[in-house]
Amino acid sequence: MSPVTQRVDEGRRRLLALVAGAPVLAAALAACGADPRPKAAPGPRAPLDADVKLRWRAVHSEQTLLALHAATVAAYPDLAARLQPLTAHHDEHLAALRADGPLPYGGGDGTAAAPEVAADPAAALAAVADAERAAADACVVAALAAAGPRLAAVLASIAASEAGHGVVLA
Amino acid sequence: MTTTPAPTPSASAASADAGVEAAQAALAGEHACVYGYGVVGAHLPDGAEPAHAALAAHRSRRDELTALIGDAGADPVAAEPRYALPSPVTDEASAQALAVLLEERLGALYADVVGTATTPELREFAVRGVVMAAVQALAWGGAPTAFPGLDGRV
Repeated sequence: MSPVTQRVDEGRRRLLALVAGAPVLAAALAACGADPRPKAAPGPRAPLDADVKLRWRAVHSEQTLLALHAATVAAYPDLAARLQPLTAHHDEHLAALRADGPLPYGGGDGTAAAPEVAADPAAALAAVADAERAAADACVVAALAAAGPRLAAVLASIAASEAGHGVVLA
Repeated sequence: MTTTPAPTPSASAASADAGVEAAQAALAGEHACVYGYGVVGAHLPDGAEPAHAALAAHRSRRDELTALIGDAGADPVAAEPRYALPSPVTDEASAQALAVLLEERLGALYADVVGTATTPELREFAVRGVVMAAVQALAWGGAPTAFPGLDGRV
């Protein structure tokens, strides 16, 4: 290897280590797969595992946001283009939360009741932004409480996604 | 429900190491951001106010994280004397693209810390880091995603 190539590689290595953080991603992937996974939904009288409770609440929050998105688009179809990419994120959040194991009380299989939508589109959009920000704050609290490393990271990421929704809708 | 075996001393030492390693990587990322926002600011018109604000925020986060790593008994990593840029920064658009990249990568580093943090303080710092990086990436023109910091890893 020529000295010039070596220098370039050195710079590249530094970039990867410091900006990309490549070596750590593999370690975190391993950590992310490590949460103990419940084999079956606990019965109605069994004490719920704290992480299962956090996940159940997060599922409920996603369903509430999805219902709000759906009701808002139903009332104001012109908002669909703006909301639909963000709605898809909530579908992904829901899928990831459900994929981590069974949930009690039917696992939140249903959808949330249709919420009220404000009387003009600007107020309706502001209400969605507010709901996204509130959900993000709740996810931060849940991420701090989670015992499992994967659940903590997923909740932090969902919080970041929903905080971002609050910003782009504002 | 599965039961988790009690961690052996070597296993808990290994997880503490992983926690420190991830925190050090995030600190290295903050150092890189401090450098990077200097470059970003130099290519923005109008006094580069947003880059100055971001620079100040990352300096403050860098100092807080340095203290947290020191509290954990480790020797916090120092900044590199200089950094290679992922692509040339020549104008406003490439400067903004660098800012988006810096924040997205930093968010991934903080997501790693969330899962491995050994203290509540570090966990909280990291969770807020994931959120702040995602919001900043959007402010610089990034696109919203379902899993900031974990893209492709969920």
